[in-house]
Amino acid sequence: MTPNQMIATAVLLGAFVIAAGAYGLLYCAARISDRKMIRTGGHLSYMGLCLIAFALVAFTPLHFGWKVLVAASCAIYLMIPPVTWRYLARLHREERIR
Amino acid sequence: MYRSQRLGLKYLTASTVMFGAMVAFGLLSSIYYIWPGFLLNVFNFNTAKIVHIDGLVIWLLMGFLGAIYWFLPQELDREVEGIALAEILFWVFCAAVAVVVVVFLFVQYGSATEASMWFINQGRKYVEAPRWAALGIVAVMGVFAYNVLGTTFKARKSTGILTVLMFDLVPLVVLYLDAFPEMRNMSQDLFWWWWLVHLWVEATWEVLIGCIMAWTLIHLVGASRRVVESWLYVEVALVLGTGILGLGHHYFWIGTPRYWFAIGGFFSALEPLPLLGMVVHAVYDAGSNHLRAANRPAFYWTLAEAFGNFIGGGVWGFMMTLPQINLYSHGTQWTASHGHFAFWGAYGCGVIAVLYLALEKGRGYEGLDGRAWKWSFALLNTGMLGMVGALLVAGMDQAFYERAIGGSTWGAFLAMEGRPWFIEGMWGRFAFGLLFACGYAMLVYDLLATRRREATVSEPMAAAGS
Repeated sequence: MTPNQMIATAVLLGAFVIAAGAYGLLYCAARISDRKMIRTGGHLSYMGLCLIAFALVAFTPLHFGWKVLVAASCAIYLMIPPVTWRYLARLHREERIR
Repeated sequence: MYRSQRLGLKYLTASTVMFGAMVAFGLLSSIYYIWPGFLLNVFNFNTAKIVHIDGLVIWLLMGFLGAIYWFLPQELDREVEGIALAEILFWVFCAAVAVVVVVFLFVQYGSATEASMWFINQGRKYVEAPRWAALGIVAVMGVFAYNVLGTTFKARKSTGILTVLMFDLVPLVVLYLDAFPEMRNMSQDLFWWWWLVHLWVEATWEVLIGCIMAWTLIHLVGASRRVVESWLYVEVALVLGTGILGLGHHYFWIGTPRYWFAIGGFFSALEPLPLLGMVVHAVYDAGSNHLRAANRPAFYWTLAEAFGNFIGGGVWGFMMTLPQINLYSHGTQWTASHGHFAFWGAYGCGVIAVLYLALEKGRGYEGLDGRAWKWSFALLNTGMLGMVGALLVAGMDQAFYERAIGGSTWGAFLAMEGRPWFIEGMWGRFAFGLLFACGYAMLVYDLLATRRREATVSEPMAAAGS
């Protein structure tokens, strides 16, 4: 790993989690406000996440195992906001019924 | 108000004072990076740094204790068991902290003898407090554990949050005992020392702040206990699931077997996942309440906690946690950037939220809203963002030139001190540190002003009552 690759990889890893956070935030905001623009922003953030994951897998000198982990994380990040949201909504719904 | 809650307020006040000491010594430490000859032969950089980082641990610990002494009697509708002992130990704790700081300031260091370890400095980062003071901390934690367990058993009832808290007390007390062993093999010493530092911070404290934030949500936005507790179980499972073996990212370069690369890297990479779940939860709650709460300062600090934890711990951590990057980044200002951001996000913001919550309930004052808290919120967070940004630039420069190109030699280290980006980073950290200090001053002003406003409000009410 060259010094330039080290910095580029670290920046991509940081951007990867930022994109995941942006996706999670916009997904929730879209669920609350039901605005198309915010929903589109959420989709774009996830697309950004996928692109960053692709760059990490294709262009960085990370070892194979870490690349698999990044790819798997990319898929898991897709599910976290909807699954968490549904879980929270169900909890609240059950609580209201009780 | 329960005696325990009054004790909680005392702890929160002491915690705010320690926060100020930490900021002051942080600023002082940052000056040495700009003028290395600053206070030469008068006051060492390492002593300033010790007070800064130990101050961090103490202000947060006091904040946690304050929060729990505040919430516990409300939770069980009864006074805390052994409260008199806890009150005595509060003063012992404060006196011990004061004596230790005075020793650090005026004695600073001693010869390599048992006596120095007992009375001056134990010499291990974060737990430098001399042995007698460390024993005092064990006593405080022991009494605290007795307070929580005794009260719960006496009340013959428990709640989900309390059950989680009671389980957490075991590692909270036991792991601190790691501050004591003397090991001459540095790898072994670091191996166990990280159990204290990492497992306190990224497991035990995470659970503790989880319990505190659960109570905060119940009192702040009237969140349903069942919902909060269910979510707490999930979060605790995820945080512990990733955080305990995430310990491995500290084992990369201390002489431990190679398998720690895989374990540490893998579990550390999973650590942002539960943090994203927390962001979703925060947005859900904020959305359910339409970003409104009676106590706006506490509400906004709670939101800052969720986002700060995600960005500081998740984003900053993931940048440098894989071994291939960590080889170059560990021990640079990059790590300092991550440490500042993660501690602030995960714990600092949470303690400030509880401070405002206790202030509102404790003084019966509902109108905390004003301009001062907004200024302190903006200055503290902008100051922190600026500091971590500046440290990140300096740290990346260090990793690039000193580590990757220079090969971590002594010459590369010295050359690094003169690099423009590093110097600018250190200036940036100092400047934003000043801004952060202004935010702290504004926070103290707001807390004191709220007291004055409360007194002004209660006087006419008292007159009307008479």
